[in-house]
Amino acid sequence: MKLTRRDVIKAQAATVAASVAGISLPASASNLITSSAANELTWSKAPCRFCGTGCGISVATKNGKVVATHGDVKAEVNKGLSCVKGYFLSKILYGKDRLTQPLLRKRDGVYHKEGEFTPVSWDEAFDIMADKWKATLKAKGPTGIGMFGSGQWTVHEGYAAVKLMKAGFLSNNIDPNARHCMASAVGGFMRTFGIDEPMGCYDDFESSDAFVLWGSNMAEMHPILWTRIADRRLSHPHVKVAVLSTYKHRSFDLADIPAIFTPQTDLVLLNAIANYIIESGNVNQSFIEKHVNFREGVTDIGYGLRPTHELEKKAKNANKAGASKAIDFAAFAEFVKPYTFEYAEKMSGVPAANIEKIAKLYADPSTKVMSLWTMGANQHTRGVWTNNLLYNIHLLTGKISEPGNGPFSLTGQPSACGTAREVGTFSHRLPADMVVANPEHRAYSEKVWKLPKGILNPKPGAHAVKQSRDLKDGKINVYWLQVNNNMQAGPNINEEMLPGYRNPDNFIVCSDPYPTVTAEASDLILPTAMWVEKEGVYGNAERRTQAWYQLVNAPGEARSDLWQLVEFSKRFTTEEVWPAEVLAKNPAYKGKTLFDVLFKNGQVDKFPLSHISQDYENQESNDFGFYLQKGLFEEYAAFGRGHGHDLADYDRYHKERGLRWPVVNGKETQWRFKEGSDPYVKAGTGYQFYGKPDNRAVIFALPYEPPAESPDAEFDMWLSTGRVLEHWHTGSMTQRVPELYKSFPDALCYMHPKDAKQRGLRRGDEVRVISRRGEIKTRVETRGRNKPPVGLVFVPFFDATQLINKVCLDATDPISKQTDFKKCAVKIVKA
Amino acid sequence: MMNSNDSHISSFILYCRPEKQQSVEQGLSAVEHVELHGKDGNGKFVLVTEAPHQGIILDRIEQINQLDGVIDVSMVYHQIMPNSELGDHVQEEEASQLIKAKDAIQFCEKEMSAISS
Repeated sequence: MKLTRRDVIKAQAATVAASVAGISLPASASNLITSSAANELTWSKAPCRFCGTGCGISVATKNGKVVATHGDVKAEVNKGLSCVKGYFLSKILYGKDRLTQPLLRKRDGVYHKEGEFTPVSWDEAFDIMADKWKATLKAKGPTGIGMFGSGQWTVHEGYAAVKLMKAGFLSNNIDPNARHCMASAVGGFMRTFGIDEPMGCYDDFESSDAFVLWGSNMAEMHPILWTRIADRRLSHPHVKVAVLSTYKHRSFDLADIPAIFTPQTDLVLLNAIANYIIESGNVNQSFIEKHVNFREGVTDIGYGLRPTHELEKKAKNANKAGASKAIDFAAFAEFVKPYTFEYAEKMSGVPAANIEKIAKLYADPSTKVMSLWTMGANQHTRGVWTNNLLYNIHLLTGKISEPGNGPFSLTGQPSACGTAREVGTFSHRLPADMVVANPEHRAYSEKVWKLPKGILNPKPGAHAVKQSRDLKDGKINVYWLQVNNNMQAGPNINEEMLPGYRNPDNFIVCSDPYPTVTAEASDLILPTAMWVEKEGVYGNAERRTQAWYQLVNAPGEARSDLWQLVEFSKRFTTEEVWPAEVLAKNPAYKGKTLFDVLFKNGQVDKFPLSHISQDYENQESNDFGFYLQKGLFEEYAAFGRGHGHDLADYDRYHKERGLRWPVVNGKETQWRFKEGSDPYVKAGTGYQFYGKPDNRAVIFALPYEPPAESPDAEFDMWLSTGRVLEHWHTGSMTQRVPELYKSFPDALCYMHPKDAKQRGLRRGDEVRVISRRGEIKTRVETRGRNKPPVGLVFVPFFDATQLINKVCLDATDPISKQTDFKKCAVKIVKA
Repeated sequence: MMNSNDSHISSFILYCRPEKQQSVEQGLSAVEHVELHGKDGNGKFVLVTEAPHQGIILDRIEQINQLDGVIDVSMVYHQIMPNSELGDHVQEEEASQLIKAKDAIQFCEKEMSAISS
């Protein structure tokens, strides 16, 4: 048989896809090829750089460059599939404007706040940084410095950053951008379960009978997980999919039960479902008797605005927003009683018949149900409440921690779980769910970190939005951002953010591979190695910890965030940053650098270079003279081992497609809190929610409260912001892939045709989106993939030329301090 | 990677509502340069496409996504080859010789926890 190479490659492509899809092809085609890739390529594994799904990617390198990527067929998460962003992953490394050397604002050869960005050496960059940091520490102490990190930091980077800030500079002013995306989820977990992160895992998708999306557009934001749901739904006709959102989007294509609700009324719908479960007699009585406590939360908690804001002055319980008191089941039942379907319909606009259909998925004991949510629930001025109420309906029915049954909080960043949350890069946290305010937690951390007793700062630092406010107010004077683009992603940019960056008293440092909006608003830009240009570890939304090797070198002088953090620590001595009385009591620490006490401490530097795989480079380790990543990981793992957060030995992660913690006796855990599947649960108990001292999860009585801002006569539309499939977050990487840019070049204002007509607008017209805080110009889209109801517009935030976050309100959840990007009031007028 | 002398061959899995698979299949036949290589009779199709650059592939995916009943299109495989080599004749025995083992590194067998779902 005569074949061309084209035939061979096409057959190859089809064979791989067919095996992933579980379809058998005609024998002639599948016999042709048994393995893969007719290229001289070296293939390695790495988790994807983008969202929190954590797909495994096969990465091909050739002559020191990444040349191809595809879904890893051996990865349990994505089983060979990839979404459009993962498909173009290799290209994010090679944007034309990649930064390759440090850039400092200079005028006449010296640093000047209003100077031009000028290339400088790393030495010069660190010199000026160290000067500014030392001057600030001297003048204001640890609260004068700040750091804003990321759920895209590797575990190593986040850990090194926390250690440098909290153990080195004794400052808790470190927060990750995960504050904007996951803080309410964390708040929900801690309040209900006392331990962070989902109890179930992605294996639930293949066992579930019903999927309920609460404000999530998985079809575009978590496409691979959506594929798993679509596969389950299409191959099992009894399976039902309910999609709830404030506007119609692509996930509705699969919806058996669609529901468009008025912003904020998810609180009403969730309470109505709880009420229905009780009234229809479907409470799992033995489950709640054995495993659940009931509490009622305080109400009227404000909107996390500045204390001088009218709404805050009016709120009764703004300063004790997280407080609650014990109640019993009867009181809870009474609390949710007013939440009838009729009331819920009136408030939400969802027909009672549809609410009932959704409620029955939860109430029916024979239906295994998964709830899924991300930013719709989290970016919410009552985000923690929404998370609590979601857990309520799973706890009332005992539908939790077993295959196919469970609430699942999705994540938006590749290591929001692994780094931001588990490592504890929040302003109030320490590793493994510990907190700075707890003296025992501090003592434990001081022991693991080999620090003088009592040295850690007990006062929680400034969270993300407060950091911006403190910069504006001149309370924080030096600020270092890594792996985030907060000037585009943060709220209320013009009023609350840019003034702080350009405040003449402040010195802002931004580490990034590309000149983002944030980098350009800074004073010093540090060029960063990204993704497989360094060795790293990410943790995904199902507690899966995944490692990768450095596969290629970073261009020019770009260096990983990890190298930057560790190298910077060499510039400080203990005398310069620690109180004299601590050093007087602990003379052994005198005369040492922060590098000595934090990283060359006999633990982090324990593993020699010979432990690094011979097949891969490791820039940082070779520079510092020891296997830095392994040392950091093993020291970090000491925090969680034996405490429900057990990680495996570091080397094993290089050999696995990830493992879900807790990893006990070499085995991962798929479902936590349930006897038989979680090694921490004692035999005979059934369930133990061991994050709480009495092993009971909490059902919270929490009401509907209105949003911080609603449409009125002047600002008559709701504005919701979010993402699109092709671009990830602020587009700083995906906008540099020509194909992705072309496929979705500019943000649009998605609008109902009636609203457009009423304003004399046609599709494609230029409009101004105006709020009380700012405005942008964009174009109207009435027919696209997103179809808002009358009265709401949707504008994505990836486009740096249309900064929609200038328009957003910086209202936050008073408990989690997470911003609500999903609702504020705007007006739309022709430009 | 962008080179006008290159050709990009990719494969996809399309998921559609089973009741719509006939009309989706018809719709696919109208999309240029998209080859149907397999289907499961239950809403899943294996598609292969060749294009001079990736942007065209994205446009085709978007076009397919617009077909009524389509739930999802997932990418699977992607290879770039110089056009000049694609027309070469290859013997069937030789075809397997072209293949290099993809997983140069050895991965341990995984111990799954003993939970059956």
